[in-house]
Amino acid sequence: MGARVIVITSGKGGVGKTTSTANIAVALAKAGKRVVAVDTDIGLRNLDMVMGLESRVVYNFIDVIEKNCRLNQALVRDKRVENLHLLPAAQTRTKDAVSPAQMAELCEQLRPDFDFVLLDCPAGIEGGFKNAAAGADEALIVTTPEVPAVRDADRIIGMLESMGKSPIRLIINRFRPVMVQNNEMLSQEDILDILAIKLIGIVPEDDSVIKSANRGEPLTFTHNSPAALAYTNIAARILGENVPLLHLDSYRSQGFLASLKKIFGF
Amino acid sequence: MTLCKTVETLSMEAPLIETPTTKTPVIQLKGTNFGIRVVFPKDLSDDLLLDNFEAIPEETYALPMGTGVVLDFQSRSCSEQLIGAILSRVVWPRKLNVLAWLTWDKVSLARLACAGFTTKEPAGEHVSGALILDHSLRSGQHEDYDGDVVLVGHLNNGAEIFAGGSVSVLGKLKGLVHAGRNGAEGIYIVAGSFESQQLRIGDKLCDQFGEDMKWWKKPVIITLEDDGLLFRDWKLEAETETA
Repeated sequence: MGARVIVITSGKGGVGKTTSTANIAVALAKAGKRVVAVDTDIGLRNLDMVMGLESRVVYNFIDVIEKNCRLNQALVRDKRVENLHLLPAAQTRTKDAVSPAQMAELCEQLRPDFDFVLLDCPAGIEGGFKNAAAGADEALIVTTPEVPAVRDADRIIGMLESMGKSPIRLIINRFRPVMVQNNEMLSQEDILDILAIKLIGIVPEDDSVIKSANRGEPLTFTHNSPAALAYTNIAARILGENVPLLHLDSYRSQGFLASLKKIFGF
Repeated sequence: MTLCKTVETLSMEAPLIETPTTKTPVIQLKGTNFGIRVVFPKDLSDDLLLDNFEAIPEETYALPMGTGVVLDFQSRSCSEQLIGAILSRVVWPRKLNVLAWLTWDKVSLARLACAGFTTKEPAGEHVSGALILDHSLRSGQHEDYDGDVVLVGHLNNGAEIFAGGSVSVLGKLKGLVHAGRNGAEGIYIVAGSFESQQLRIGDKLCDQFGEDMKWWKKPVIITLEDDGLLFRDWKLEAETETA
């Protein structure tokens, strides 16, 4: 028995795959799990920046595949939390530098030493996606409540189903309850009706996500924003815990601080 | 039965948009692999229909490839008097071999069936045996089949079904359907909930659909009639009346 290998994907770009990968990775590590986040977006890597580990990258996983270094030399350990590692992508290569079989082999090498391997997938349905999906057992689909993003998610789900990945679960990102109430945004029910897969979490729109990405400090390190709480809950659900969905309406009517007080009783 | 024509009919040939015109409805004759299909327009009086039908030269039906004719009334009501007049004035004098009497009008259909006429599409129009799909089709997934297709699920936005025959989507029809791709007649599209912005039947393309149309998110059956798409309510009715 080794790690669970989970690909975080979406089809459409800019919906929050990398942010989700970083935050879930931190949350799982904080829960005591051994985690490696793998940036599979060759040529456009940025998971290292979102995780705040950019300056410590020496090798990347292409170097491992091409045997320029050993696997543990390419792994970047995050010193802020136990058992969290990053395996970066090459910035100066292209997606065709690796094959699906090589990615699957890399995942097999990672399995024995970790509880979770999180694969941050590039946008699109071509080689980059196929590489990332090749080594995964299960998938997290990230979508925003927008029609094009949902259609692309539907496309990706169909491809993952045909590849035999299971379970495939959904993260709805950048959700804005006020817009839903005004019929300006797809609701949770609309999205689930189209995609017909299990929902694992809803992440509300939160300005702190942008700030954290710029600082290189995933929100789940601190746990003090709606998005941080949502990602922590997603990690808990990945671990099999039965955590109810956030009541996002309450953030609008009471303010987030009041909601936290209600949740934690302080 | 209340019928409603679509507001726009588009041809697949340039120019794409046909401006609706007030032209006199005419009987159409279409060559098929079983002979001649005679398509009667809805908006033509019985007298004019009989006159026009009678005026068609006898030689028209003597095509070497043909074995008979199919009389297609589309959704037109077909009275006993009209049936009798067609028989006495055209069919018997010309010794036409009528393979089938087709109509979407249920009363007329029952009347024709009771009189012993064949009311089903002649075999050989398209391949026998329907393709049954027991799962929804997601965006990017495509099915191409020469015969009829039945989808027990949803056809999601970005998914496609191209069929030589008719297409039935029992769930939500959000993707693209092209039924009767090879020009077969008697083709229909069924949707449990119609939510598609474009449809194709035969060589007709219609892409003016949206939430403001009457049939949006309704169960519908769509046929090709008088060069336009005809929408009707699709209901699963109990058979107790005829049992």
